[in-house]
Amino acid sequence: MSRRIALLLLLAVATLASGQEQCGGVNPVTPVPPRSFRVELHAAHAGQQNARSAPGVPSVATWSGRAEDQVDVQLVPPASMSGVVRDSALQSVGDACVFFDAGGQLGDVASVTDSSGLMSRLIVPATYDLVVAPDCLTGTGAAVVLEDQQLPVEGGGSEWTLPQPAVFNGRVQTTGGIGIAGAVVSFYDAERPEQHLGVTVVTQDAPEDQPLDKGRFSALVPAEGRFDIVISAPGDGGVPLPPIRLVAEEVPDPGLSLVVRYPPIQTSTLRGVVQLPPPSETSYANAETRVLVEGWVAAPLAPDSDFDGGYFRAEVPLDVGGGGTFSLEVPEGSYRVAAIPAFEDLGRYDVGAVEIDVPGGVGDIDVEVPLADGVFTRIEVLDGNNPISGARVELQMLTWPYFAFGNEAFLEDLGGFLGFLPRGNYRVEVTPPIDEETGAKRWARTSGTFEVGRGEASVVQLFLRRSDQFEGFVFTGQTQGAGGVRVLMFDPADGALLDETITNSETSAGFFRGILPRP
Amino acid sequence: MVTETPREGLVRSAAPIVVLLFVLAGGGCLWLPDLPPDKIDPPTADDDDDSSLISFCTPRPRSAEPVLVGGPTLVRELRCRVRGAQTITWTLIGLDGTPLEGRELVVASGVERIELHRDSLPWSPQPYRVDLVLSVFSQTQGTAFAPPWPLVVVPDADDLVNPEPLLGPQPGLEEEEG
Repeated sequence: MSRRIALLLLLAVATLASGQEQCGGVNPVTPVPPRSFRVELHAAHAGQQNARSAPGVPSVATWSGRAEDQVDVQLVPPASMSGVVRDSALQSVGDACVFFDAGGQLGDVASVTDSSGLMSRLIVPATYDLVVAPDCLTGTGAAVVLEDQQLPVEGGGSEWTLPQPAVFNGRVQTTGGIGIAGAVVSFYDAERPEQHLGVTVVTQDAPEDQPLDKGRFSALVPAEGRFDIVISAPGDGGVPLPPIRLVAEEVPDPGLSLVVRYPPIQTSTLRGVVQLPPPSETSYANAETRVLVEGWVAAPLAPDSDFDGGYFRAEVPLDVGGGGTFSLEVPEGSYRVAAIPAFEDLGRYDVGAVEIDVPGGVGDIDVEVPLADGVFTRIEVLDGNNPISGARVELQMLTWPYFAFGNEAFLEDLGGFLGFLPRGNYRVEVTPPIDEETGAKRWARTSGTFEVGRGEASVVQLFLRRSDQFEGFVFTGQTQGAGGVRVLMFDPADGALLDETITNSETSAGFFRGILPRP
Repeated sequence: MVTETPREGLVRSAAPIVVLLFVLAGGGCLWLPDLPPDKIDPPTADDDDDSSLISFCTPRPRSAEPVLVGGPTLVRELRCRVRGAQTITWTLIGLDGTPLEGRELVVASGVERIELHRDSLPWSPQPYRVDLVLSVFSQTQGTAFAPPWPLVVVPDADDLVNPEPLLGPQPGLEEEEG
């Protein structure tokens, strides 16, 4: 073959290869840099654990960068397990929650017992910490923490016995001996102060002729151990109490009663109005506007008191029918009052907040909470200088109130996100469009963070990175392809999602194609 | 009369092939013959049909598998695969006898994935249950709902007594630090 022909063919092949890489929808002909990614597998079958990688152990895969090299990922097969929950009298306990933690988060997996106290499920074999909680932590039955449980148990089911209960009596009162009704009393494990025991009671009211019964509470807690006890106002602030925390209390002897003493804290009534958006089609949504009041309550001088200052927090829905007003009795202190517009209105309005000092015992305090405009924000998705249409944009607030927004499908052609946002920090994730005809992906997903501050407008640009596709194979322990498995691929450094797909089910079962950005 | 050498004849006969290669390369998107498309067949797993508006939710929305938020678990991620929907809405539905009774709160829209922060949920010192519902709308397939996720929301003792202020530093401390 002549030198000229060889040159032309070489040039054509090189151009072809270049075109393939520009298209990005196929594997590169020439090797590209290798890269690693964290992979999560989610199987679809009923009763199975959601995460099918080994729990608590990040599964990292590596692609060599060569088109012919396949990435193999093993699906950890789950095993069936069962358990029964019994109380200290060995009676079965129904509607109890069993929360599992395999080195990730408590509640990675959870099951509820049936009326016979039984639960059964499939689970990835591993060592778990468990919290077995009657009433799923929302009642008055004490939970038990069981650490380092190897599950499933060989040769049979598990059996969990709840601790022997003891009666814990108490009274919440002022230093003057006047009982306080409606206070919320919660119990925590003193050795794990973040672990709620699932025991919450409310102090009782009493007739006027039985004043000593007012403010009493009685709880069933484990007979052994120490507890952190927190007394606080209910969530709607209905009883204007700042919280008191008693650390490492033991169960007192029978007949004894723990007394919690509040100093004489003066209160005032906070009467507020939120400047609502003008009436519109969002009037239904306005009913969901919430008001949050939080602030610091200083400790009055009172030698017999258990209170040395603390935070007061309450949340109430706005009375839209009453003209956007709210009313709340609060202790003397310094507060911030925030109005959270209904979610639909957050597109137009920011969270509004004002600061206010509330002196005690002065009657009514009036406060107005204005809702400022949101900040007009445009998020552009670019490939180099070229805007990309059809990308899906998702925003997650990284600051309170942690709402999430996305461009609706009919806006995707704009090439990004366009709208008003509340001020705050955001993480943005972009899912690039795929070729509708071939299903080919050209780019991996990309993400970033940005801040929406004060100002007229905000523009954020996100650039899609040059990416390469590879082939992978999800298999079981018997090297059989596992179809219908969702494969999530993450950046091992920052945890950002790079790609997700579903493995083939019938033909070439277990195979999938992923796409990763170049380093 | 013009005669061509064998070499010139070879060039002439190979030229269309070379041109075709250039055209294909210029088109940009040419699949190698042995590579399948991204997905050959829709998956046919028990629970999930990828042609559904909502599929492959993690964790699975099941009444007997509550999702814990709070306590040591400050943030809980929920993720679904949503395809072909024009709107996506995540709503908290209050249950009878709970602090959210009779109330509905939208917490996210337009997203497949949400992070539920304890602080983003209605405030209460008492653990409570609430349902989270994902609903989507498609102009071609109508409205679809995922089964509700039963949430168990548990406060942290520190949240009750000495929390990180949701609205920024405490007014008094802010002045001192300034």
